[in-house]
Amino acid sequence: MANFLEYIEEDIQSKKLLFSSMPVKTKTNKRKLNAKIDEVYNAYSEYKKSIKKYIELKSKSFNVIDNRNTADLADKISKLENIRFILNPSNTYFEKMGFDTLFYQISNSQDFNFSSLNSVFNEFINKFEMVNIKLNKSDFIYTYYVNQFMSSFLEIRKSNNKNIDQLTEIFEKIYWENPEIISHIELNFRKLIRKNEKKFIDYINKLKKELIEKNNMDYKNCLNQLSILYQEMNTIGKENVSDIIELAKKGELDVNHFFEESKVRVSTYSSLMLDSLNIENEPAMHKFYESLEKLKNNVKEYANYVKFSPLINDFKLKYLKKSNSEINKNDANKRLKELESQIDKNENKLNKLNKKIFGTTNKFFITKEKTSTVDLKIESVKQATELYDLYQKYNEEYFKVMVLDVVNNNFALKDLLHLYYSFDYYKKEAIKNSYEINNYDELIEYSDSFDLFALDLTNVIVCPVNAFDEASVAQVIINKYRLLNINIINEDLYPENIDSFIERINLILRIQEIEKSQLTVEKLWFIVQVNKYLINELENKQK
Amino acid sequence: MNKEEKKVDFDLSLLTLNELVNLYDNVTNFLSYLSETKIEDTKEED
Repeated sequence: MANFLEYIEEDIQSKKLLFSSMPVKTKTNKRKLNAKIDEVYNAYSEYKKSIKKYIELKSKSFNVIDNRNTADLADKISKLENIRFILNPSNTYFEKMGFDTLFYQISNSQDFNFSSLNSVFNEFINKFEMVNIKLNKSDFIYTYYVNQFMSSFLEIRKSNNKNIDQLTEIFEKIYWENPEIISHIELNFRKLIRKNEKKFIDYINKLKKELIEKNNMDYKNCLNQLSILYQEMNTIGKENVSDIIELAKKGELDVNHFFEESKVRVSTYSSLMLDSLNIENEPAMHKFYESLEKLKNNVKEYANYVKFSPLINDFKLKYLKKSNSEINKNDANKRLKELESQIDKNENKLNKLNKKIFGTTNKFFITKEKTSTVDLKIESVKQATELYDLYQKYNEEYFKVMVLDVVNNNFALKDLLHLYYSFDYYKKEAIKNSYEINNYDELIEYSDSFDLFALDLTNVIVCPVNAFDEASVAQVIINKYRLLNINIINEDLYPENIDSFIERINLILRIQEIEKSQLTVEKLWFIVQVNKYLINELENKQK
Repeated sequence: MNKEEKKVDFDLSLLTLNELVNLYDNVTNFLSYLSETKIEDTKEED
């Protein structure tokens, strides 16, 4: 008795033979041929329907339901990360309030549209309101132009008017008279923050106290708990069979390489074993897979160090060169204080000048003083611009003081990650300089991936920043895993080869994951085929 | 060929996964072939 496939193969051949032998000269011939084709077509359409229904059901029966629930764990991590952010002992109220992030946005205003820039100003004002400070136009007197713009800004903000056309018009008018208006608004905010520093410090201290009491934990406990949760997340989040099915369906992995007879599979296994192992030797193979899993994590961590090595090298050059390390922390602090008092002095001078300008413009008879008011305005803009340079120097010194506070001979890579994570403004500056990035979105992408890496408490590579170079870290990994019978060579860890090396490891780990589950490679291949049919059908329908 | 050999078992559960995929491919390809083989123009006279 023939099975359905044998019958179909035979039937198709005979039908094809029949159609090729049917006469097609006349209209009647053609009509007869078409009628026969329609008859066969209908029968085969029915076959197709039944087969499709059957294979879809069969494919579904092979599916592995993902029972993992990482939402609760992710929620716990997110809450603890928030506590970690506030309790972080390495930075100050300035970073915890997020002022550094906002200042970075202002100082890169060329990458924003006017509406986004207004949102940044709004966020600054919101932060003052968080500590019960209601800013009004008399707070924005850094220059005459700052006052002009911010008065309109506050009025529009108060009226809740979402239409910013009027504000745009005012801004444009001011901009042509004073193109540095944005920098001067930035200085005004910096000055206001310095003036109200105590209120912000008190606010953060109160928040810290509440968090410690409510959660019954200090910074160290918080890190310990986070470390456990991250490890748990890594275990639960590890790629499983359902992930493999989804990747295969998306075409992100080639199932054909998973079959035992696949040349890619055979060569991958042998290329990663120093001494070949007998696949039947379960304990030996278990150890091999376990080592590969660990190696994969180490290589991923190493890949991040490779990615951020320009940043690490830039830091080494700037802050860890011998000549720099001789800079005394007290000297740096002294310089910071000097700059601070210079800023105060210059701001007082500017303040006096502004009083004259505001006094003059408020007078009823201004004809005589008109020329001198213009001169005063020009002078005030000049002084504000000089102050901007002083603030730039202050910012540089500020970070230097923070760095000198923590660097020593044992300053390790993880300390560097933590330092930049704690100072968003300087991290972004360093990224921008190290990678010559001009696009703001690209910079944020780098910055976010850096933070993710810095926050990961499961990182294991320990190395002093001073001794860091990609090759030596790579060598440590190579030496460790060769001892565990893994054939890893220098070339595997060349930056351009890392992704393909991880894919080779993944191939073996995925095969092992499939083998220890209910799924088989053949079933996975079948799921992928059926999925392709469904996609093709959907595409044909859309056509 | 005797009567028994001519009989067909339409039970799809007897086929392997590979055979099922072959079957679906054969039927789908044959349907395309049928569509292409049909003669559109039947207006001309005998």
